[in-house]
Amino acid sequence: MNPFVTSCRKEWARIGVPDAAANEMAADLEADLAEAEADGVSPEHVLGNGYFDPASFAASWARAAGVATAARRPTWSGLRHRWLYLAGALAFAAVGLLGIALLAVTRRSAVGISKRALLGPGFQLHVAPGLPGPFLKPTGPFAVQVSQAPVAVGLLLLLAALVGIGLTLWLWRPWSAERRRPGTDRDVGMPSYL
Amino acid sequence: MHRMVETGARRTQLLRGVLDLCLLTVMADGPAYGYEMTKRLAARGLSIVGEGSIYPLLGRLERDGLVDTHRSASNGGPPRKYYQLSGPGRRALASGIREWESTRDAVDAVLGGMHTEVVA
Repeated sequence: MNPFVTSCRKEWARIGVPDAAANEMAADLEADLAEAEADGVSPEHVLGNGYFDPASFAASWARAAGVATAARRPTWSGLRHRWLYLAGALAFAAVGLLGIALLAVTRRSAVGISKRALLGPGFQLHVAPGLPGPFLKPTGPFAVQVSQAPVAVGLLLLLAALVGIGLTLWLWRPWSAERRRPGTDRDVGMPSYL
Repeated sequence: MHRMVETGARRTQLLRGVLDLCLLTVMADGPAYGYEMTKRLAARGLSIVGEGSIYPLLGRLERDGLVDTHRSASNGGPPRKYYQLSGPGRRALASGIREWESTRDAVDAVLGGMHTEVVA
């Protein structure tokens, strides 16, 4: 079998072209190249630039004919990038959870203080910025003030997490079905209106 | 001088838009297989050397229903897939030719008055 056709068959097998279609395409290609050789015509005259890249030629032909059934096997660099994006998204999610936890603990402390305030005198109504609603703040030696720092930090962490996750998903775009495949769609004569 | 697109690349871009029409046209002369179509194109002065292959384009035309195919023996050789124009293919060819002529005339109107010189 012609070496070019052999290379094409390997690519068709890799991308899931059914045997019947691959056999037919291989037979046609083999016959055409043999006739061209008998006429003294170079394979490039028959195949164009596809002669120099049998895998891309075969994949392009199979996809154009609609007989390629397997998705393109991801490359190592593609898999590595996918893990990096996933790790980034998880890291930002962890940051967000930390922020939520910080906010939850801060709110619980404020609620705890207000509950204790209801137990007896010596407390005055206090409105603390950043906390939902007023609470009773103990006066005198039992004065307690809830720090606002954890709230601010928690909000910042949550905001950073949301921005980070959004940016990671936008850069990764895992929902994008069509990714650019260099070398396989360089078909001359494929206008959009046909 | 401003460097324009190289001649080869420009030719490829131009051919990209009309090769399907060229293939449909040579099929109008009668059913043909892949290599035979390249011979018919070459006989009319169009070589695809240095361009993309016609096989993916033939696959697309078949998938889109613009050509009909059948397998039969070729000049004493092995059976091959023959392509011929289908009804929708004839209509697409007519429409495409009208669009090509309109575009060609418009471009000629813009470029027609220019005189070019080759500066050594």
